[in-house]
Amino acid sequence: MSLPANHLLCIALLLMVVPAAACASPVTRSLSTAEPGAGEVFTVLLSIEGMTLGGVVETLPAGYAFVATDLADDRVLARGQQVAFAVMNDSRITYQVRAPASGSGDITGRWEDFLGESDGQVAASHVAADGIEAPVESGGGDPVPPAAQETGSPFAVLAAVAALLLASGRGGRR
Amino acid sequence: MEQNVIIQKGYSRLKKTRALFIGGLLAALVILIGLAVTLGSADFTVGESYLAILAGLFPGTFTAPGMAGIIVWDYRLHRVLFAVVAGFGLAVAGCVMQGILRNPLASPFTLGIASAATTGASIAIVLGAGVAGGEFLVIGNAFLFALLAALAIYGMARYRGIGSETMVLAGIAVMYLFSAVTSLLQYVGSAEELRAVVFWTFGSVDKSTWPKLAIVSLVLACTIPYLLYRAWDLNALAEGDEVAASLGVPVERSMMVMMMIASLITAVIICFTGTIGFIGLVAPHITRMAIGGDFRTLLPASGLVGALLLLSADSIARSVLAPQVLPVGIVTAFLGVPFFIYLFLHRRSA
Amino acid sequence: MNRRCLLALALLLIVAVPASASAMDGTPGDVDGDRVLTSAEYASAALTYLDAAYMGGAGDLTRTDIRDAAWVSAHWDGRPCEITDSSGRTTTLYRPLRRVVTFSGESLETLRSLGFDMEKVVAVDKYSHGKKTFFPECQGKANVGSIWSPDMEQVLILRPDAVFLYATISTATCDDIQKRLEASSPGIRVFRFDCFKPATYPGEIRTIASAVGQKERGEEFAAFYESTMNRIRDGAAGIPDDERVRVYFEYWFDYTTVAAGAGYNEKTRLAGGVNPFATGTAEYPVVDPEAIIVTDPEVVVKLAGQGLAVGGYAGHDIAAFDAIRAGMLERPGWSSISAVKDDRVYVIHSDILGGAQHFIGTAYLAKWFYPDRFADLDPHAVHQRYLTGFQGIDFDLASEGTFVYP
Repeated sequence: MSLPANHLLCIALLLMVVPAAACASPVTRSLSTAEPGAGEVFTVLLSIEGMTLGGVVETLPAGYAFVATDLADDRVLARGQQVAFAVMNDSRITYQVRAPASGSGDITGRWEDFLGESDGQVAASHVAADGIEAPVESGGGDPVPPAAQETGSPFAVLAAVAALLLASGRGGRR
Repeated sequence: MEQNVIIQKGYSRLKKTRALFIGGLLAALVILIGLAVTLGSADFTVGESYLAILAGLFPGTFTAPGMAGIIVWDYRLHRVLFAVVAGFGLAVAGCVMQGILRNPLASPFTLGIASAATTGASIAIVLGAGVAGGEFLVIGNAFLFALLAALAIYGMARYRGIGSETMVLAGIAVMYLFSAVTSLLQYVGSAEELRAVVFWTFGSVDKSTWPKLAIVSLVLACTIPYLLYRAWDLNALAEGDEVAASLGVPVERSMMVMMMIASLITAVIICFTGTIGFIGLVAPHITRMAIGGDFRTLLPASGLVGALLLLSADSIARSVLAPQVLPVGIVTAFLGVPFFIYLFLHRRSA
Repeated sequence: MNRRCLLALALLLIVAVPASASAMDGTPGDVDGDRVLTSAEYASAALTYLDAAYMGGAGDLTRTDIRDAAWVSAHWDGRPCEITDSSGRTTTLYRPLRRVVTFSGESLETLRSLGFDMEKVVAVDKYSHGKKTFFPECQGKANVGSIWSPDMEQVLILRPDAVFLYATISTATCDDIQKRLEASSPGIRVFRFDCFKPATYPGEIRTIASAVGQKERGEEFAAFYESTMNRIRDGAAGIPDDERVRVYFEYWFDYTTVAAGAGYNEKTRLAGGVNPFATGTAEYPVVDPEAIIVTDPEVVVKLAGQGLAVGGYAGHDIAAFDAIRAGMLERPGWSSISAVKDDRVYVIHSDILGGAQHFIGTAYLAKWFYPDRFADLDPHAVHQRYLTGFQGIDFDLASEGTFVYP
């Protein structure tokens, strides 16, 4: 199956621009699995780049429960569906989430860079429990290779195209 | 009989004119104070300024918006009131001087008091020497030297006989002496010090504070009633020494006491403001033109005119080059121009 | 890890929040008030803020509070910063400076050399405001007048957290401004820095650098400044007294020289020159024209600038400098002076000899007085590096401005 030329162009542009989009948000999220089994505990990895002192507040969809994190106790605050992390020179934070029997939604997040004096949203990650009983896990924490989460959200594509337009607009200045 | 009635009618008309004049002045002064408080480089509406005043007086009932309270009470209000009080004092002192020297061109500075105060300030600024320390260095010196000048006049006049001519001559001598000393100090001093001395001579109400206002008000409150009490003596003196003596006025003692009081009022004002000229000269003149030369009304009325003049000059000084604030002495110096032109054009043969 | 710990933490936060709210004059987040923001305190402050901002919690740390706490944690190691200014007063800073008013152009320039974010300067004095070429970013800022004619209302309206004044000049006037500011607004910090005196400038650079959290850049800039000045001092120290050049330094006005405490006199001496007219206490004495010819100076330096307004940053006007120099050469009797015979008559602009850039001007003086000793000194390069590397303005010395001639 060959892709049409303009699709190829879009992907090429995307590949060129994704680094630009990623720099705009210092926090990117990846899930160990986007389709956990019922009651399965999966791992969420937050990659932080360029932010030394700041905060991230994650909001889990209904039914999903925060289990644990590798960050020290005094830097985490969990309440209801939300978890706040105080980022202090961390480049990665992982935390475990238990999926319900069934249900889907988006894990959204807000980040704030206190030193850089900026803030924004972490790109949403869609997760859907597939209703199949999963075996009990021994507990997460291993680095999980990121699945293709970025493309699941149309927002990231729009942001990437916008960044490309801006980049080409500014290119003439220098 | 009819003549008596005519005179009485004329006199009651004059009394009414005087009452109206003084009443009008008071009203104008209140309005001008109300206006002056709203002037300044901070952007408040008129309502906010008044709200700030009320909030300062009745803190429970009113609250001032933002910085308005601080700015109005710490920077504007005491400055406006100080201009009123200083203008009043200078005009009254000028009035008294014109009375005892029998010279309509006399002013509080005719006897060299301004020059002496400037010398005191220069000594404080250039040599750092003075009677009081810290922030009162310049103020204390200026006041002391102004009084020294007055005492020098007194001493010289006693030696040669007290009369208006001798006092004026002594005043000129004192003025030249102190001017020369000031010039020498200005030459010797550094560029910074020279600048400070020159700034002082411009005369400004910038450095007013509530305590300074209290001091000046206190001095005026003590001296003005006495002057009013003795206003009739001034009326007599205006007629001439012999006439006054025959009316039972102790001529020499009165002249000296009046001179010292006028010097005291002038000294206490200019030690805080620097030399502000023409108020003491122009205000009594204008008042005399309106309500005649009876010191019982001339004194308070010229005080009010002086207050109005100085407050207007200060308001102009704050607005004309906004946000820069001109020293008010420069604006009052310009006042002298139309005044003397008017005198020149309307000269009457003596 | 388990819910009970989290609950305890949450309860602790709820208790901690009112305590931190009452610490008005302290680093935000310093709950126990011991003036040290430990990482634990910072972490809990961050969580309190995030809770209040995004999770509907009840905390009263604002965004500015947590940003200040992060800044203090990163730049001052969580501790308050004690600043001793050039008048000897010590002030304690618990938060970074966010709204600065400068009454002195030299302090403003030094802040810029240290990489301070100029957006945080909310108002400047009227002279800096008028320097369109040198301070282009200050054109839009508020104008607070000058030391001698300050617009106090404007300063207060801007609600600054720091005001910069001079330390050793106009002291009475600056003291008055300081007193009035502190009486009206107790939270204002008033800093007294000269930033133009060779003796105190390096220390001031380092002090201001630590106040604005730019220690490294401060060290770099101080080292740059000191390398030039030390080179001049060391070079001039070894000259025996009878070999020192006689200099006639003329101020903006004809036949007026500099003496005593005048800064230009000090710099002439620093560069190794001898000013035979520097007797007496007057700073800018007028000299007898005959005395100049009799003294026979070996170098003549003329100052251009405020009183003789040509060149500097405002204009590229070599012809005007040449005209000034030619005018001096034509003075009666001057053709017999050594300086004229050896072609050692120079014009220099006060922009680089007074103020914060005095090290550049002094380098030029040293090079003119002793070209052999200071052959390796390149004032032009120092000037360009100062402008491009530290001041960060787009100014090319080759084509803009006139500062020295020839």
